[in-house]
Amino acid sequence: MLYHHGTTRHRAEAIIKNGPDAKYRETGGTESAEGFSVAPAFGPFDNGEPIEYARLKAKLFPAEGGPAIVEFNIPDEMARDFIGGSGLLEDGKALNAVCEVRFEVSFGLEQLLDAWESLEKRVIFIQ
Amino acid sequence: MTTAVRFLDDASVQIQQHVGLDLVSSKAILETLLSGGVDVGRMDRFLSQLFLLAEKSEVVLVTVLDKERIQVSSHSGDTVEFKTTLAKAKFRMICARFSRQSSLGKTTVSPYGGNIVVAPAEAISVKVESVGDTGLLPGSILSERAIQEINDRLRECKKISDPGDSIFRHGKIVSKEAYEEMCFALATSGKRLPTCVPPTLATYVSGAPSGFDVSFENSADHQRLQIKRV
Repeated sequence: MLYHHGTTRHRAEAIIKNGPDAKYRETGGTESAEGFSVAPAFGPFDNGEPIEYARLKAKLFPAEGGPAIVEFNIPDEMARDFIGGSGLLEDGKALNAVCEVRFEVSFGLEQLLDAWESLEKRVIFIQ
Repeated sequence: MTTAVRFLDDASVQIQQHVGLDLVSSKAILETLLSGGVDVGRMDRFLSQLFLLAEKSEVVLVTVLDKERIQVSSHSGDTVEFKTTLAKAKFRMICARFSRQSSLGKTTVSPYGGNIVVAPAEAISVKVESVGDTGLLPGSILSERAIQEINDRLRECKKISDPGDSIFRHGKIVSKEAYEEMCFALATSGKRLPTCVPPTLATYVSGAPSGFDVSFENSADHQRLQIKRV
């Protein structure tokens, strides 16, 4: 399944290279992100579209190269191993709210990072 | 700025709106809605519950205490706290949902925080102008959501204009399924079928919405949501 994460260009490039960083701390922030949120690339977007998040982050952090989207594909078989069922929170798997999937430590993030290098992924730059 | 927010609701919330509720008695509902996984329906019901509480108690403040604890307090001083796995993540999703639902026209609230005056559909009171076939009393005051649901249910019904050989009485409101089943049974035995017309829906005039001043912060450092009746 194809997923999108809306962010800034600089962060997108770092994520593509190293995988999502749960310890990432925004400029001026005192706490880390603690996780990584994505939306299915083709929706539903009940919690907002990744492109909206990308634009918001780019506006909040104008020195980070503008809005961008990290696109990556998790094969279905692999997704079943580390993403919970729709609307479910399963042990060791990412929280799947259908319109948003949230990876955190002990909730699918480790598996995602382990698989990251092998996943098809790219950055989509937004004008 | 006033925007109309339409959160989905369920029967329990509707019932509570009429029988009364307080924060302490709502704890189980709030906790249940955020226990385990979440989806759009549960997030919307959680928000609806908060608006109903704010309607009753003036102010409701939701604070994420840590990764596993959420605290809800009201103006009267009542405070409840409950545990939920991935509390911060769920709260972030709720704020995102709220900001999404608060969009109207060119007005959009950032999912990272903001301040807006909203009027949830269940808080908008309307006055029944024409009762149609609803069975409501003329001049009744009820929520816009409630009357819309009654009209929606009526759209799924038929009004008997001629009973034919059926057991229906003239003017009876029956479900489409019951009508079709009756017609099928009569047709197979060669009897006269009933005829029907669409029921008349209620009409209403809008009243002033109960407004809520909603402020929320949704960052890694601060996660709180305050709903204040204005």
